[in-house]
Amino acid sequence: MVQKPLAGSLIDVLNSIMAHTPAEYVRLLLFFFGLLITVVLLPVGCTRFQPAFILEEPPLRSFSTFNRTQQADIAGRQNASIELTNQGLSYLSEWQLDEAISLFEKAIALHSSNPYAYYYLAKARYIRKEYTQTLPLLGKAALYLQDDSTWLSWVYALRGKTYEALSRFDEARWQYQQSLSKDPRNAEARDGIDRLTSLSY
Amino acid sequence: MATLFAVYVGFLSGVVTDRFEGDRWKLPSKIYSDSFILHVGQDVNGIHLIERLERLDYRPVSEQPGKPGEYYLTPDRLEIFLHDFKYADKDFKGFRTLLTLDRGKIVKIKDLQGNSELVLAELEPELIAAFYDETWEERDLIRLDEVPFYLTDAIVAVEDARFYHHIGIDPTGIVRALWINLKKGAIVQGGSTLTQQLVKNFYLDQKRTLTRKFKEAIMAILLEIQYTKDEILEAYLNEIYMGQSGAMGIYGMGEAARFYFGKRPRDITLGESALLAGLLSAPNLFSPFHNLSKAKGRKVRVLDRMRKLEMITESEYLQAIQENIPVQPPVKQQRQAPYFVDFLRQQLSDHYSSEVLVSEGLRIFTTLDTQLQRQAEKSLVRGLKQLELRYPDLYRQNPSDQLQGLLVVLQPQTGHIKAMVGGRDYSVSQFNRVSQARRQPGSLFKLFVYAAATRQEDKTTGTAYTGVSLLDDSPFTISSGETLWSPKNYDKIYHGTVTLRTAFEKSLNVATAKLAQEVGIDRVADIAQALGIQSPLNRVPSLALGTSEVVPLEMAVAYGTIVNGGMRIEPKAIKEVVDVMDQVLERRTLEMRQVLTVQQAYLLTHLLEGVVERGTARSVRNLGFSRPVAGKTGTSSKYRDAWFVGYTPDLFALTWVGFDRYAVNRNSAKEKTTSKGEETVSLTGATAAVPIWVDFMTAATEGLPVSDFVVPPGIIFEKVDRKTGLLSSIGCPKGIDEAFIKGTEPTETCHYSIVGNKGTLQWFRNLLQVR
Repeated sequence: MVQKPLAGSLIDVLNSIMAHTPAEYVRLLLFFFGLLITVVLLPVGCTRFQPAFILEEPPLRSFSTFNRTQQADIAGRQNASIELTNQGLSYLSEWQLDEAISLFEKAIALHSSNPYAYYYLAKARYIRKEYTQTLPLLGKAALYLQDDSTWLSWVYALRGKTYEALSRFDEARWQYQQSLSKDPRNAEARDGIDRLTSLSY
Repeated sequence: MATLFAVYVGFLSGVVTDRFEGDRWKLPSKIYSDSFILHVGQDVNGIHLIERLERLDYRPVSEQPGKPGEYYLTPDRLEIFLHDFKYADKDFKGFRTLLTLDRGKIVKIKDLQGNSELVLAELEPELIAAFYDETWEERDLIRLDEVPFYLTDAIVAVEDARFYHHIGIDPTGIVRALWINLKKGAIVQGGSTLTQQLVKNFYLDQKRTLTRKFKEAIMAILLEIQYTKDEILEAYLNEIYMGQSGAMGIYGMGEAARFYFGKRPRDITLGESALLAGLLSAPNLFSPFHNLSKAKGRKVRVLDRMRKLEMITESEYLQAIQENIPVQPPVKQQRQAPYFVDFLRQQLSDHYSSEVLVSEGLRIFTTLDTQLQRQAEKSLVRGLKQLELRYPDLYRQNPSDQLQGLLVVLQPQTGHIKAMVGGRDYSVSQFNRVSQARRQPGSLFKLFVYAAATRQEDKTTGTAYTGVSLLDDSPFTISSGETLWSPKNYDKIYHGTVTLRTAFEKSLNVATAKLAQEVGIDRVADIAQALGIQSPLNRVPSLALGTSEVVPLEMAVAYGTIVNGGMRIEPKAIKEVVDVMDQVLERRTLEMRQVLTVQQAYLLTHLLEGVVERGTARSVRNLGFSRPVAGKTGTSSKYRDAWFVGYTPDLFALTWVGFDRYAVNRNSAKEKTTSKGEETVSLTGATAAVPIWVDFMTAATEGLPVSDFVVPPGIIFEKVDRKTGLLSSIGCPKGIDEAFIKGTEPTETCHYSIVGNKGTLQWFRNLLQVR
């Protein structure tokens, strides 16, 4: 087979380029530009673009162990309490409420300022329809979550659901509104407001 | 005749089946303490970890632990092979755990078998007591697969070598035993098989008659026909009598392993198995605790028999002979926390009859912390003895008349009772003063007056009562029924106008009584009951000063509500109750009710902190307790009762000191006895009760991190003048930080220092030419 010389190949390429009209080149450029946006920018955009509502509670926050001895004990106790809470969550997700409740209470006994344990204990009691216990437990959770508006919104949302279950609709509405004021993305609160609105009609 | 015999055999078959398949044994219900969580940062000495391990039958070894129940300690590591344990909701399989230590503190926890780092490890609960019937049989049921094969081999070898070959009776064995006994001229060997021994113990009495032997033989054969060898052997292992511990009988190999060696059956060695097997023929004769040489001799004979039957090798034989024999029980049989156990029994009696508790083998998991319990017992006894040394008038010869006390410890956020000491000495008096006594709370009751006040408006100012509200501590008289009542202060001085805080910190009777009148006695009583007082209250003016008797545990609940942010939690001693089939019969969960707002509760805690810093409980600081703490002293009328209730954010303890209410004819000074002849302690809560509390809490919080009370949202602090309650300023700089619910703080500033140096103040005024 005879190989074309390099100069000849280049001339062919140039000829093929010159064979297209400017409009075709514009279309080609637009196509590649669009591809660039899709491939490069879309993933970046996705990470920055938040969904409209958050459907479930955020993960539990663990605590780092400080160098100072006393802080290490506090952090260690807190982390152990979080671990027990996580174990309880596993049971809760399997609807094994007795075991879950036992672990949440153990978590509270170990570290009485663990807001997540109070929250999930309240949730477990809510599932068991023990509404009179749900509210004080959520009060405790709220006390220790003052600086975390995302989590606080879930506390308010669960309070709203509890009041709703107790047919105390005005209080329920107020709690849902408080929830959305803390985090407008809270899906539970949004759904709650919608439910109450449809009830009133 | 044959028909009658067939009917009789049929009847016996029914007896055999009924008992074997029914409830075979009366099993005492067992009571367990709370489990203990290990985590990073804990001080091994502070949590008394080694003591806890030893109470849980863990033994130190000189190298890496190889079996459950062993631990290995060096300055920088503690390896523990955790025991298997059946919790209420899980069957825990023990594994080797490594705690890496740095200057005594845990810096890392690792599962050595799973090779993973852990956030926590759990030490199983401690057995603290059991409920027995009158026969007092201690028994720990085991399965055949929980027992090492050399234990069953040893038993078979020495008691019934042909166990797996006969049909319940062994004619060969009977003939051999007859021949040996004839040769010796005495009964030295029995011919009974293991099955016959089981029948004798399980079904029949101990009479040695021909009729009974005949019945025993038939029932043994019937047992062998209806059940397997393994089932019969397992029943034997659980039934057999293995010795005495005082009045308590030890039954079954499960309990025998624990009693003689402090081990679970699966952990015993060949030598230990031989010793246990050797006890079967005469447990008390061959007990190593009574006669070591006889026990050794018997053990060697068992091992020799096993060797002859080729159950063990020569080297195993020699090794087993060398093993040490314990000469005293490794595990103390003493009942722990007797007042707590009695309290528990009372709580259980609502759902479980006495018969069930002594025979159904329930496992009851409680909230008790055994380390805190031991400390509470020590602190109370030590404190009472020290009072008797300091004040010899308090000493009584007769133990029944001695100075008494109580100490109850709660975890306020859960209501868990961590320790309960209902008296000085349970063997002298089983009366549980924590839950059964009714005593006047004295100044402790003042908390309820101030609690009621924080929920109301001050009529003088039209604003809510706060720590700076002004009260009048001047003489007054009020009618109380058909009499007139004029309260007086402890120091017999009237203090005039004082702030609410000052009145509370100094425990001023007059100001408090007046406040109660302004608030309303009914409101005071109502809030006391809402917070936790269940005893009926006399709604008279003196109620404010604690003249109505209450149960100490109720007072603990009421104060606990304050610690818990205004949420009342009923005290809890039981966590779970589990039956012998591992079914959870009952789980007691947190039950709380909001009585005060969290802000109102914090205001009261802040007042109670002041009582310790500046008020009647200053001795808490003087005695060296430096952690953030809130508390209240209480002294009842005529000094009959001396109280102190105090709490850190995590732990609450209530102490009382006094004499039991028995009329005593004593010719002592008027101030030492009341007009009814009752004894009085003649000391205040600060003098009598505070030292016991400090002794306990210092030990209980040793090595634990210091935590402070959480300030809830809606609370602000302002520096205020202590005398006027107005905002501090240059004119009156000596203020204290007072807590207020936002919107209730004072707005007026104090201009002149009541106690300041007027000369200095005037100098500055001149300098600045301020008119």
